[in-house]
Amino acid sequence: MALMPKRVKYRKTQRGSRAGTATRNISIAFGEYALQTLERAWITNTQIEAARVALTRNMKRKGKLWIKIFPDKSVTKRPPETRMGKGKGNPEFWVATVRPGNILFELDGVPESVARESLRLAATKLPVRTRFLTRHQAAA
Amino acid sequence: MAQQVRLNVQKRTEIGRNAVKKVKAAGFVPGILYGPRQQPVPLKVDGRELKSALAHAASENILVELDFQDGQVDGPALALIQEVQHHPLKRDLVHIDFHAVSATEKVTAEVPIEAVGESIGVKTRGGLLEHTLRSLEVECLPRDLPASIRVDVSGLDIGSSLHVRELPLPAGVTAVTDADLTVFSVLESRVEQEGAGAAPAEAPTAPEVITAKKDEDSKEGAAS
Repeated sequence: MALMPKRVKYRKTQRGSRAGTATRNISIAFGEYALQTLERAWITNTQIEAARVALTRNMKRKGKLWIKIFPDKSVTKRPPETRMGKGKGNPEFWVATVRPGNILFELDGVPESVARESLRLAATKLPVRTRFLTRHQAAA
Repeated sequence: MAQQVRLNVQKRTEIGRNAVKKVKAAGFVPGILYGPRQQPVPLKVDGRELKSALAHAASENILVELDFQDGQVDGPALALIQEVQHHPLKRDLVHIDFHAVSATEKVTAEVPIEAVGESIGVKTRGGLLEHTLRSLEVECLPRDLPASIRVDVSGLDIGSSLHVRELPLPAGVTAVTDADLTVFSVLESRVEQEGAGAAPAEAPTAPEVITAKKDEDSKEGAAS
């Protein structure tokens, strides 16, 4: 099932601001290891899903995974070869806005080497530079 | 028992965003000392000294003895580190809160819980040790405050769990956190559960739009 909200108040959203560094979702809350973004971006639902698949494959379905971002913003696109005007395009996909410092994924129940490799593989599916964090590093 | 750290601090007269920027540029970390029987005291701590103190501690909630360098506050003040703020990207120390405590009065503090050993369920049956509660709120005298609570989880099998009431607490320390909360549990491996699951049903392509208000409006319009 595609990652998107079950119910929304409005189908189409404005682009909004992505300025500044993250102020929420910046610490490891559940797991022992995490992947943190160092850049700002819109991460699409397919990218999140691809990263999740890469993670669970490498973890061999062991351990526990938390996805800390959710694509709750719809992005619209105009059909090809249409003239300007006639209203806003149709929603095509969903994105999560991430700012530098946001935690994307958290892991637990696997050795550090496995977590590091899994999160590296997941990071290759994402459009942002990322960093591996452990709970101890995050606190220090 | 928690190790008591001595920290050299200076009273801070620089208040406000721009003034504090200069304090940070000089290598200090701005902070504040507050407590039940005193006015809040803005202060600054040497960044390196503080970083080293925190690096050697099991958690950030440690007992410190604040030694005021300028002598404006009488004698060293005993305090608990209440909160440490970090920059989300640089991980630098941004600000620190000290909570003044009395050596003779009980304090409430968060103490980290650490697992020791490997549980039977994980070792032999491929289970997953879930660490649900990572810190425990305890009440004790400052000198009795443990650095961390180490729990032996080697006896935990799949399906079993450990609760707050079963934690081995040092003498003089009582748990404030709800005794029925689960700290550790060993779960069955997810592989079997996922294999047993049926194929996902057809996914909706668009979310449901909340149109209740719109419907009512249109009905009213039609009636008039």
